[in-house]
Amino acid sequence: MPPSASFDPSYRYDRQVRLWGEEGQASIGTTSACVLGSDSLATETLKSLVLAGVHSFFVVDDARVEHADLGQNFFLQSDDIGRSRAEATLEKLTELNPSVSGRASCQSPTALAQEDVEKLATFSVVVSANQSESIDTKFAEVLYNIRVPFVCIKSYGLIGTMRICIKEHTIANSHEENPRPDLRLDAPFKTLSEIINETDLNEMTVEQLRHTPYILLHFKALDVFRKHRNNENAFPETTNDRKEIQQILQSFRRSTEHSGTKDSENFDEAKAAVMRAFQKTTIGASVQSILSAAESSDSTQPFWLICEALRRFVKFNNGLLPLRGTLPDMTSDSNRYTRLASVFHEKALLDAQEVLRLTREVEKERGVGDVISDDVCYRFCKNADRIRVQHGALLDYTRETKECVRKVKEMSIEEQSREEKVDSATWLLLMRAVGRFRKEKGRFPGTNGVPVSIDAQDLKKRVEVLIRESVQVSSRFTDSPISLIFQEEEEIKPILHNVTDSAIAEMCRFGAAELHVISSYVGGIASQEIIKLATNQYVPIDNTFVFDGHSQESSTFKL
Amino acid sequence: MPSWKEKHGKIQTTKLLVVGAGGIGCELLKNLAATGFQNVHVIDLDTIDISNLNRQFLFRKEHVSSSKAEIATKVVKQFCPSINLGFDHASIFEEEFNVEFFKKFDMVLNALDNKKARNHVNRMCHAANKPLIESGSSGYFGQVQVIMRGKTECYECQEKPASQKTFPGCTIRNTPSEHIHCTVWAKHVFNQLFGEVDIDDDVSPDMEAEDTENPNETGNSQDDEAAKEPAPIGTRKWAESVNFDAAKVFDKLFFQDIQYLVKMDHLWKQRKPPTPLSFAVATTTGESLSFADAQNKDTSIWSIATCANVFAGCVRELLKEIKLNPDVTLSFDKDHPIIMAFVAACANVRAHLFSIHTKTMFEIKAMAGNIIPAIASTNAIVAGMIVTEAVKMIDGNADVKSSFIRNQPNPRGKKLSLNRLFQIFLEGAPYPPNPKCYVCSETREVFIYVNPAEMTVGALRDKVLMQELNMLQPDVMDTNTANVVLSSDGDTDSLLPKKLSEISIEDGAILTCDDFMQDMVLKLFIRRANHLRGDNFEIARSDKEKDEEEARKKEQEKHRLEEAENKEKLETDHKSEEEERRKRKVDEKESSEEPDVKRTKVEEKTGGEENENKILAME
Repeated sequence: MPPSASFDPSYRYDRQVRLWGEEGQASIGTTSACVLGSDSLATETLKSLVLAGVHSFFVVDDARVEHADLGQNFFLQSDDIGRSRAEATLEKLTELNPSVSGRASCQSPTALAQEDVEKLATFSVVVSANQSESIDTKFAEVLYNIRVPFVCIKSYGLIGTMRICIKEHTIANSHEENPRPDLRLDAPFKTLSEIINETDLNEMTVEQLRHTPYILLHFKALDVFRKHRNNENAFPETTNDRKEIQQILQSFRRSTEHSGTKDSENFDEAKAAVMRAFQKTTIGASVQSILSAAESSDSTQPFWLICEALRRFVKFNNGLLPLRGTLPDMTSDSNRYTRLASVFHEKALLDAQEVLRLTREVEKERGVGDVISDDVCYRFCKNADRIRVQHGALLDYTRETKECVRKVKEMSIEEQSREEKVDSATWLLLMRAVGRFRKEKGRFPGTNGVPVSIDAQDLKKRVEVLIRESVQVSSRFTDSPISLIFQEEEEIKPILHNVTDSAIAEMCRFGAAELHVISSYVGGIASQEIIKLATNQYVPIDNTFVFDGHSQESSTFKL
Repeated sequence: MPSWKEKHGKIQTTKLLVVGAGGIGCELLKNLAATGFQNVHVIDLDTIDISNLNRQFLFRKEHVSSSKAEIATKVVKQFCPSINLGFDHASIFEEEFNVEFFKKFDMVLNALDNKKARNHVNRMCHAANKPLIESGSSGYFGQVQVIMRGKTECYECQEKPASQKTFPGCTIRNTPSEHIHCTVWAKHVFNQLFGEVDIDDDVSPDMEAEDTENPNETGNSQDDEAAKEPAPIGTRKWAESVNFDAAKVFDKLFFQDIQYLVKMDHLWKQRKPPTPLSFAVATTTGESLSFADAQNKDTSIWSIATCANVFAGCVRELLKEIKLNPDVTLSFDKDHPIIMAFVAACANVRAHLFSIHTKTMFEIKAMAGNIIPAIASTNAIVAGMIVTEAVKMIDGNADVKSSFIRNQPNPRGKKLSLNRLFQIFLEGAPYPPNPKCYVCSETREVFIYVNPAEMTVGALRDKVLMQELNMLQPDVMDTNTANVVLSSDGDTDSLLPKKLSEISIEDGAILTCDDFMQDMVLKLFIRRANHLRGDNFEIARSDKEKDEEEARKKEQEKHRLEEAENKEKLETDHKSEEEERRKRKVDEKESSEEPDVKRTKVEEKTGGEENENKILAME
């Protein structure tokens, strides 16, 4: 075999570096994850994180391995029975990737919650796997304030849920598909203008004309358009204007003596690209609002430092963002294409250099050293038109239950019965009812040998209570107490009707069982989103995900 | 809603075939074992590479070079000793995996990484009438498709985009204009020097090309013969004659051959001719890294001097490898560091000569190996979806789904509905079978546009039936004459060099093509297309002429409508602004409410972990 072993670990990560780049891998390599719990769900989540190459992980659980674990947790074997589950899983997980270090603690997550905040602040992300609502709430509050992402996942029978709780998440590269090309037709920079001015379509041979990259044809068509309008600043704004450009392009075409046809690929491309290319170079509303936020921010986070530099750049650059610097593919002889591509590239480098200079200014003002490297700055500028900031919401079960109830209420009765499927908001509401059941009875419905039908009654009562609590708040403006009760009943009935008995019975039938495949699936989702958070790339789910294994349907929404 | 516990009996007795023990395969085997499946068989011909370890979690570093199927089986059994898990370290195309073999299972789960094998398993499942769950992943994208004969579309009902673009031979050999052309050429150089020689992979200047703008219009055959005369002897033989002296090989590829190219001045009327470069000059062009250092800098651009060093170093190493194992034929392998470095160095030197920007080895590897990014979490999600569907089907639940994971939540559903605003998953009932599918429909028709006077029977077999239509051992009969055109037992080999027209296969001919292994018979309709030269051909699922006629009618109708509309528009020109805005809004709405549009897009992206070279490799 080839000496490929010597290339480890970069070879190990080759296939994923192609997705998130060296910079993404570096971010993952500094991520430390704390996971509350060591069941199948926790292990499956960690498995993908360890494989991806996080720096370290910490498993917290006071459970011991029992026989029941063997059926669900792929990593546990019969000789693990009786051991600390956190330690047993730690051992198996570290085998997956020698460059990741792991630790385990046999204390309960509750104990960890009571430790000082500083310890939690050392983690890049905290995951809660199948923990109780009170543990979730405790951690959520602390972590929200110290800005550590908190990911709450649950695997309950055939239902899986995830809630991402993070105050603010910045995205430096959203990897938006098919972004509009940044061609600056309305504002060509100097080196580009030079090429345009040198270009004279009339002097070209037919062969040369047919190998002229379409961006040059666009500029020439724009010249004619401006002459038509007698306005040297005119720019196509309506569809009709753009159609006019297409007609002008058509008039540039020439036929060869040889073939007599006017067909040529570059003109076809030019025509097809008109609608997308002839757009004014503007800054989108979301980027605009990030820039304003940057001005008032005093954050020393890399993202905000560079955003403030970006804002200053835009201010002195006629309201234009740095040039992206990549030229789309176009039919052309290689010389002219290469020349165009390099002026785009060089201008982008220049813009990025200027942003970097401004970043140094901002860094100095905010009292930090050189945080942003050349590379980071250049990459940031390339994607500056697609940066994003997500504003999260604190995990608050009372508020969120209310939201669920509202969603269940809005579901019309026909919708519910026609589909014969349980809506994700209903499942989520039922998960809350189970949480309430567990808190009040100290066990899950459908366990402990109690007939399922009795627990189903109990669970239904809790659903009703949850609905009542949520509705109460909304009808506090009613004056008379009698009409209040009456009105409340009227409001509760249809909502409760939407939570079908069969769904409640199903929830009890699960008996808190954890199914491996559901855990594996939810663990996959959770690790995928954690990687998006860690790399500041791609747009993560904001903020709730519900999966229904009966139908394999899922929903994503914000609570 | 019976819970899974109640299904457990059925799960235990169901017999499953898993094809592929790679990224999705590892996750899948784990899920199946942990879900309680007891009878599973897995097939994979691949061996473990270090770059698999970031996701194929059943494998460790010490398993590198071992059989994926074997190790996966061993490791799963360690964790789940009761499972009856069998394996074959073999290609799914092997004859032993015939229709009878497939009939032994209740369901087939694909965890493959290439179209050819997917097509094949699709046909085998169709023939054996077994449900198939198909899957694929690419970066954050993933998909799962349920295929049931007669109920859903099959894997081949919709045309899939070609996994890799092909380039005209003369662009590769004479006039590269993009880096990929140089990379393809460099792979050919590797094969010519160290690997298996393929006549289509010639790397020396193509003297036949009179004018590469019209590559099909070569001169008459007499001229060709004359031009071929000075053609150099086989590259491999020549290299052996100079003992693979790196400098000499370099000079031949980048000096003499380029000099020769430059002399073909018709090529350079509109282009800048390349500059020949000798090894001696190359080694002093820019600062040079040593061979070992360069290999570790796969994400920085190598200077030409570095490329020359790497070239020489690789030639030396590869020669050693050949001498050590004279019986083993090397083939291009993107994960073989020396081979990859050789290809990168060659591609960059050539790019440099043709004034094309050079690239890093990391980038060239992606192009040369057709690498698709792959991560553990997506595979975990995909495998979870496969098992969820499998259990639904075992339970007789007719509500099967085909699902796609996107890389981010995207708008879907009614805009005003609060419950369905952004979704990261798209799922829906599978599409019904395509009545024009040549695999699963009753008619099984394919239309081929060729020039019968130029295409040979051999090309019909190799390029059309085997490469394009993925048949394994086609038997072909002309229905008009009842002549046997191709026989899989080799009886008709004498016909292979003949042109189609020489054995009276002309426009309108109908060939019955039978693949015994895949139990598939299809009708191939020959349509003459005089503009096509040599072995070039086009494939269509329906009769183009009929389609064109229909399209023309539609176009005319549309045109009439448009004209009427335009007239109206002229009258209401002042309203056009508003109209446009409204239209744009509608467009936006459409795109956000139209999962089908996105669906095709996702599909394009998730061809799976395609791999051009290891065509039988499995994910």
